[in-house]
Amino acid sequence: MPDRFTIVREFLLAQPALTALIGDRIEVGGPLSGTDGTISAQFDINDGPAIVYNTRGGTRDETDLIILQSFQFLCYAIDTVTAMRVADTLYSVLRGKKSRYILYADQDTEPQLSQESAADWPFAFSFWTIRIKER
Amino acid sequence: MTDDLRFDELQKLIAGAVPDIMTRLALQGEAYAKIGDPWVDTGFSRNTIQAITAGGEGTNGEIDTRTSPKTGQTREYFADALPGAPDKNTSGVGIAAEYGLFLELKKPFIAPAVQKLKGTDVQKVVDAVAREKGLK
Repeated sequence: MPDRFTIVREFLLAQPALTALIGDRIEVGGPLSGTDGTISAQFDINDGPAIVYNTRGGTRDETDLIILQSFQFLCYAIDTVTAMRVADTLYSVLRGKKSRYILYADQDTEPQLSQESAADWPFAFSFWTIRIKER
Repeated sequence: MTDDLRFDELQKLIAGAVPDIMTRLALQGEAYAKIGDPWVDTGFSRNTIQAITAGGEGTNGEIDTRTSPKTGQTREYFADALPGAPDKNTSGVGIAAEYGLFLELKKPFIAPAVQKLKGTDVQKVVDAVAREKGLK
């Protein structure tokens, strides 16, 4: 089984509605501002929107074969409207969808807006629970 | 006592137990979040992790001046107000430090605390309150 980050990334990169917005700009991580006032990302927000995602804990079901993995998705864009559009597109391509390893995906919270402290990079963040098959 | 009356009494007992259950879970969640907080430096953000008891009031914002033992830097820290519980069957755990959201997004500790609660503590707390209320 691929690792859970790869499972999610490959699924999202196979969704044309989403890649039309973000291309292949999707990486693992959290907020990008460092304590030294700099921002660290593999993408430039001026090239287009991007998604930064990470796990935030989770559990297993009683069979021990299904991981109920909690994820956070931070959808970055040059402005808040576009950031929210990316988050809404993420919802439309991921919610309730299946793949070889994804059994079900559900958004726990509606997207909310925030902004990086080190740069004027707005982002919309949402939390998800994704059920992943162990094999 | 008729069956109907007994059912009514049971309903009242359960309704009376729910706020107790929710408050105890919030307090346990606060403890888990504080223990799991990986960001402790001055302790300000950890101090602002608070349980909102069932039907309880929120917290006021605050400003505190602290010195980082790591850097020796002294500065003001700000905490926002936490909202109160909307009704007596709702409780919560929150972090009020204004930068708390970023701490959670960088390395989550509130979400894992809640997941830990959902694991085993819910049943334990329900059992304990049910015994105290004579439901078990």
